[in-house]
Amino acid sequence: MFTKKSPALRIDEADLKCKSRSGCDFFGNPEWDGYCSHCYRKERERQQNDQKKSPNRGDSGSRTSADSPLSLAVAKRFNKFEEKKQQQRQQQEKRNKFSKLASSLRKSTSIRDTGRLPEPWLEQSPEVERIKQDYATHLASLSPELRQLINKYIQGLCRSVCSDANNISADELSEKVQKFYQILSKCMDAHNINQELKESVLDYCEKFTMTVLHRNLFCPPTTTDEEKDLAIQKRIRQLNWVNAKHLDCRINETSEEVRDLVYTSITDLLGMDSEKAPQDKLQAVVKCCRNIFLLLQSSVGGPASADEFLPALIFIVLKANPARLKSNINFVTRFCNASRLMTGEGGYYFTNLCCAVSFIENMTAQSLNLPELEFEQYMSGEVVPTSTWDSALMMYEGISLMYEHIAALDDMHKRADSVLEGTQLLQNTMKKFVFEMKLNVEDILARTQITLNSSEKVPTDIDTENPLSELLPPPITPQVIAGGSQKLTSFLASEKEALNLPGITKYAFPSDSELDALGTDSTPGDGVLPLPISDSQEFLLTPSSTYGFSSLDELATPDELCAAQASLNFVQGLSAVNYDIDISDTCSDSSAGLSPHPSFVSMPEQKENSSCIPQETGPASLLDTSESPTSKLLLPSPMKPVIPGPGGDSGEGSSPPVVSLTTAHSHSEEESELKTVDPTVGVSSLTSNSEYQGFTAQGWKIQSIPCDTGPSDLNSNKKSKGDPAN
Amino acid sequence: MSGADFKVVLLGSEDVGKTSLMKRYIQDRFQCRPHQNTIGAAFASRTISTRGRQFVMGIWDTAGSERYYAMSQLYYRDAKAAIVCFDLTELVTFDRAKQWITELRNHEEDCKIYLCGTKKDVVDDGIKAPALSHEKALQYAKGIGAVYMETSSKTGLNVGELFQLIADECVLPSIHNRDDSIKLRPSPNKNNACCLAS
Repeated sequence: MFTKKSPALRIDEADLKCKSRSGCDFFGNPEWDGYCSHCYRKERERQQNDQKKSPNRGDSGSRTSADSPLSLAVAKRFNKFEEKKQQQRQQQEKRNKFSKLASSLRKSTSIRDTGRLPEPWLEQSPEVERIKQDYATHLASLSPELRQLINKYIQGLCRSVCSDANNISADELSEKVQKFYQILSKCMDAHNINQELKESVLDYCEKFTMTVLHRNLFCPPTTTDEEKDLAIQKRIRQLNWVNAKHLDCRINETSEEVRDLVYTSITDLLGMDSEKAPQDKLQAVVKCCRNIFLLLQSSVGGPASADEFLPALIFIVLKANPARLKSNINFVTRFCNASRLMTGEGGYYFTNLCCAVSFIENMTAQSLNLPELEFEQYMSGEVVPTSTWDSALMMYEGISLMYEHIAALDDMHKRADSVLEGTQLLQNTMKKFVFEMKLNVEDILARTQITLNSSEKVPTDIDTENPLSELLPPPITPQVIAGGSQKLTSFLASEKEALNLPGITKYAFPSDSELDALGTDSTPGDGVLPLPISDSQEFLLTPSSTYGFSSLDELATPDELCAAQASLNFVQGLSAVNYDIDISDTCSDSSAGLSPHPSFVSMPEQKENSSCIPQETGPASLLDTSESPTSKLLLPSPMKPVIPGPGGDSGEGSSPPVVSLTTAHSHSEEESELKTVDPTVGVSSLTSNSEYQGFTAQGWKIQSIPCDTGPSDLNSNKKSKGDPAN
Repeated sequence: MSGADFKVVLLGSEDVGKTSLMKRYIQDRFQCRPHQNTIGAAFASRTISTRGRQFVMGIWDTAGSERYYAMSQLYYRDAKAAIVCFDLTELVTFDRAKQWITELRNHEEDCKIYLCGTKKDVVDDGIKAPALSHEKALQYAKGIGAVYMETSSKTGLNVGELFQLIADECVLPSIHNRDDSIKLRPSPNKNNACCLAS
C-alpha cells in the first residue's frame, strides 16, 4: 500500500525506481535502502556473504597493518565490535533455524502477538463487560457444557479473525463470521434450546464477538472502505443543494413537529457510527427509519408507503451525511447475522438505506428530473437553488420568530392600552380634581373676595375718607400708654421683670389705644375684649394677644392669606416696618416655649441693646422681618387699613406692630387653629381691620416716631436677627 | 427487531396498488390482532400458518418510481417470493411488470414470481375497461412460470388467498425438503384462475 501511495508524494519517478544497477524496473523503497524487495534481498545476501568472508579478511588485514600501533589499536577495537556483531548474528541465525520459520519470521511473531491480545481485551474492555452482564442471565440458563462450547467457539473466532484480519479479504472474513453464526445456531439446535433463548444467546455471541473484533473488522485494511467513505461524504456535500422537492419527498418542512422529527432521525442515523455491534447499528437505522415514518405520517396524513419513504430516507441521508457511512454499511452487510436480521424489519430498513446510498452515488440530472445543465451548475456550485432546506429552515425560523415577536407586541400593545386607559382615567380624575379645585377656589374666592374687596375698598375708601380717619386719632396713644404703662409696670414689678417694663409699656400703648378705639368704634371679637381684662398676667400681652386672637381668626382662612398676599403688593414695605419687632419676638418666643412672656422678654432685650428707643427698635425690626414670608403673609390684612390712613407711609408704619403681634402669636401658639378657623371670622378680621384703621390713624399721628427710627432700626434689626440665631 | 422467516417483495410501477395490497392484507389481520406496527406501510411482518406451522412473513414494499428502478435489485435479493403488480386498467404498468420479471429472472432465480393484476373491482364495476384480457396475462404468466392472480384491495378479493398461497409454496419446500413428499397444487380459485407453473 505504501509503495502504491508514495509516488503521489514524489516528483520524479526515476528517483523511485530500484537502485540496483541491473536496471530493475520495480520501484524501490526507503526501508529497503532504495532497492525493490527483490534486489534488496539479493543485496543483503551478497552483503552477508561478504561479511562472512570479511572476518578472515579483517584478520589478515589486522595482521598486515600490525606495523603501526595506532592502526592496530583501532583495528582491535573494530575487531571486538565486529566479533560482537557476528555473535549476535549467529545467535539469531540459530534461533531462526530452530524455529524453522526464518522466512516468515515477522509474520509468525505478529500472529502470536495479536493472537494473544484479544483475550486480555475480553476481560478489560468495559463495553465487553457490560455485554457480558447484560446477557448473564441468559447465559446462566444454558448448560455448562454448552456455555463452554460457545466460549470455545467465540475464542476460536476471535483468534482466527485477529490473526487473519490483515491477510484475508473482507469477504473471506465475512464468510468466516457467518459460518460462526451458523455453527452456533446449529449447536444451539442440537442442544434443544428454545427459540427465545437461542435468539438471545445468538445475539450475545454476535454482540460480544463484534465488539471485541470491531477494531479488526471495521473498515479492514484490505478494503477500500475508507476511500469510499470519503467519496460518499464528498458526494453528499456536493449534493447539499438537493432539497425535498427535488426528491419528490413530501416532507412538510414548515411544521415544527416534522422539523423536530427530521432532526431526531438525523441524529439516529449519525448514531449508527458510534455503535459497535452490527445489530446495534441496525437498530440505529431502524430507529431513524421509524422516525421518518412518523414524520411522513404527519406530513402525508396516514401510514406512508415505500414510495414516500425512500425519498425521505434519501433526504435524511443527504442532510445527515453520516460519518463512515460506507464502512458502516459494509460492516453490517458483512458481519451481521444475515439469516436472522436481514429478513426482518431491520433488514428492510437497512436495504432501504443501501438503496438511498446507491441512489445518492448514482444520482444524475435525470433521477432528479432536472435539466442536465441545471444539475451541472448546482453540482459545480455555480448556482445555488433558491429553496434549499437551509433557506427554508431559516425562513421558517424567521417566520416563527416573527410570530413570537408579533405575539409579544400584541401583549405589549395590550399593556400599553391599559396604561393609556389608566393615564386617561388619571387625567380625568385630575381634570375633575382641578375643576373641583377651581370650583372650590372660586367658591372660596367668592367668599374671600368680599374681604379683599372690602380691604381694597377700604384703602380706596380710606384714601377718600382721609378726613374720617383723621377723625379717629383722638385717642392719643402716648397718654394712654402712660397710664397703661404705670399699670403694667406695677404689674411687671410684681413679676420681677424690671427690664421688660419700658419696652412693654411702650409697646402696649398703641395696642391699648387701639383696643379702646376699636371697642368704641366697632365691636371687636367677643373673645378679644374679655381677654385683656380677665387675664391679669396676660394683660401685658393683651394688646398684642387680643389682636393676635382676632388676627388668628382672620389669618386662619387660606382665603384671607391669599388676600393678604394680594394686598401685600401695596403694603409690603410699609407694613413691614412695624412688624419686625414682633416677629423677632415670636422667634424668641418659639425658642423660649411660651409665647406671651418671652415675646415681651425678648423685646426688652432688644431694647436693652438699643438701650433707649424701644419703639423705634420695634418698627425697625419689623422692617427686617417683613422679608420673612410669614410676615408677608400676615401683614397685608392689617396693612390695608393702614394705607387708608392719613399719610400712606406714616399710617403703614404705625399700624403693623399690632398685626405683627397677632401673627407672632398665631404662628407660635396655634398654627393648627389657622386652618380650622371659619370664614365667618372674616367679620372679626374686618373688625380688626377697622381696629387697625383706627390704629393706623393713630400710627399716622405717631408717624414721626417710625421716621426717626429708620436708621437706628436697621441696626437693631440686625441685632434682633442675630439674637434668634444665637 | 422482528426477524422474519422469509421475505416477500412487492414490485410494480407507481400507483398500481402495491401498498394498498399490503395494507389490505395487514389490516385484515389488524382487525383481530391490533398490536402490529402501523406507522409505516412499507414493511410488515406477520405470522402466517401453513400446514399447522407458524411462520413469520416479512413483506417488503418497494418504491415503484422509475428513478429507483436501478435499486430494486437490492430489495429482491434473497427474497423467497416477489409479487409483481400491475394495474389491470393500465397497459403501461403491465409492460413495466414484464421488465421487473425479466430483471428478477436474471438476478434471483430462486425467487418465485406472482403476477398480480390489481384494481379488479374497478374492472368489475365497469368504471374502466381492462387494458388487457385475462387470458393474455395468464398466458404470459404461464410463459414465465409465474402465478397469475387478479386482486382487489378495495374488496379484499383474493388478497388473503394470494399471501396464503405464497406462504404455502415458499415455506413448505424448505421445511419438508427431506421428505420430498409435498407437491405443489394449484389453489382452488373459483372466479379468478390462479395458475401455478413449476
